[in-house]
Amino acid sequence: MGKEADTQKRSEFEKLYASYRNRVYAYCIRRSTAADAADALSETFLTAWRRFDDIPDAPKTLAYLYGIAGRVISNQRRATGRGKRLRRKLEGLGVTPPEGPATLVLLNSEQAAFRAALQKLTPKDQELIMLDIWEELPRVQIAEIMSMSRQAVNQRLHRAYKRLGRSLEPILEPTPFSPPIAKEGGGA
Amino acid sequence: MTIDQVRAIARRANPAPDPDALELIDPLPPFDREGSGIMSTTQIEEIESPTPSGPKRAWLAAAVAVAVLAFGAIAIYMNGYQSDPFAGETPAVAQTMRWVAALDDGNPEAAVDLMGTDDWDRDDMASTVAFLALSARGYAAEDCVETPGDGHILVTCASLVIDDPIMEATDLTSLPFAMEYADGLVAIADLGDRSVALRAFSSYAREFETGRFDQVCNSLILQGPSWMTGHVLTADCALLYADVADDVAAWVIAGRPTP
Repeated sequence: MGKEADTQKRSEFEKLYASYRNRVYAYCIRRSTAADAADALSETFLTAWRRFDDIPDAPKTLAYLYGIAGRVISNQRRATGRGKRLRRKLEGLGVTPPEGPATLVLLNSEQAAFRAALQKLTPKDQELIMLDIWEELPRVQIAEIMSMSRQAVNQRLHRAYKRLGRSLEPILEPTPFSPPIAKEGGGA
Repeated sequence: MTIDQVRAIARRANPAPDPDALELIDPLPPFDREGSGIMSTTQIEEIESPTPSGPKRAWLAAAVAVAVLAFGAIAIYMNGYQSDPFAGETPAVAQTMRWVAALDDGNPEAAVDLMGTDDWDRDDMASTVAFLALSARGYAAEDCVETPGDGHILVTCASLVIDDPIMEATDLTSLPFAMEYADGLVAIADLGDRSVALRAFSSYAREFETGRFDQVCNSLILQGPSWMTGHVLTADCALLYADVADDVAAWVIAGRPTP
């Protein structure tokens, strides 16, 4: 590639990065820890650079980048699983490996209930829900990312929301008020 | 709880509701800092300098690390987009596994496309496949082998594991599964007998979901491919099946009490 073409490609990539990095980072944050999300963002754009000529124009660009980011995060999860297994093995040998950076996540009860309910779904249904409600992608783009037909996405989302609702109901429905029981002879 | 209520809760639970408000540490190396950077096509000549030292040595280490990271990311990408998970199987077994994967994905169109159309009533087949794909939560075929025959190929799988609470409640967690191919097209697909589970659904829905059952499932009222279980095999009926599956399972386990 000539220097001029190289410079132009770089300039276009910088524009792409500036336009989409926040949304791709948000996608990664929603599925990962903050530290892992930064790594995933970096890997996603490194891949995007290498595949720059294949990146479709808007409005398909974001869905394409989400597709790469999703695969990067899946690989991170596999690596985390391998790390956990190694940790268990080391503990079995009487060696205590150092703790990683602690992650403190504060959630209100509704968010915690939602997270718990979401995790009961299959990974594919979880991803569909997140693409639909958090990434706010049109169904046709969700279908492309997930390699499914639009009808299948609609039907699967319908089922997944129903299932989420059933999991959430017993947790979030307000319990009937019951007054505190006064103890006999409790005095003042 | 309605779907709109669930969607509202999901929206409120978004851990990053405003991407533009996120504090982002720029994770990419600068593109063109003092002639280095991952995007430069000339950096390889610089890397090949025989005795890098000082800042250049540090830069070399960083460039190699970035290159490894980039190749790793590309490998993930290529693996995700281009590899066929059934590449090691024989063509007929791979085709069978792809069909089951389409059911598992809840993607009846893909499953129908894999079957061909020669000897099938396409509408009936598509409807039945849609019922299969959308009624259960997942499918997995295990231990499939291919047996060539006279003018056909038979693929038999030791089991077809179906994630379906009604099947579990009726002690039908997996079934034998076979597909026969003739001229490269599916001639017979035998998914085993799950009629016990289908009848349980039918009985429950007639009793407890009468309105919806009559509207989308009742084979006495509706035109559509049906079986001896009293309901049509359609996508709409599958959605009712999936909606009430947990309730039907609980009802079966409780001994099918009458209201």
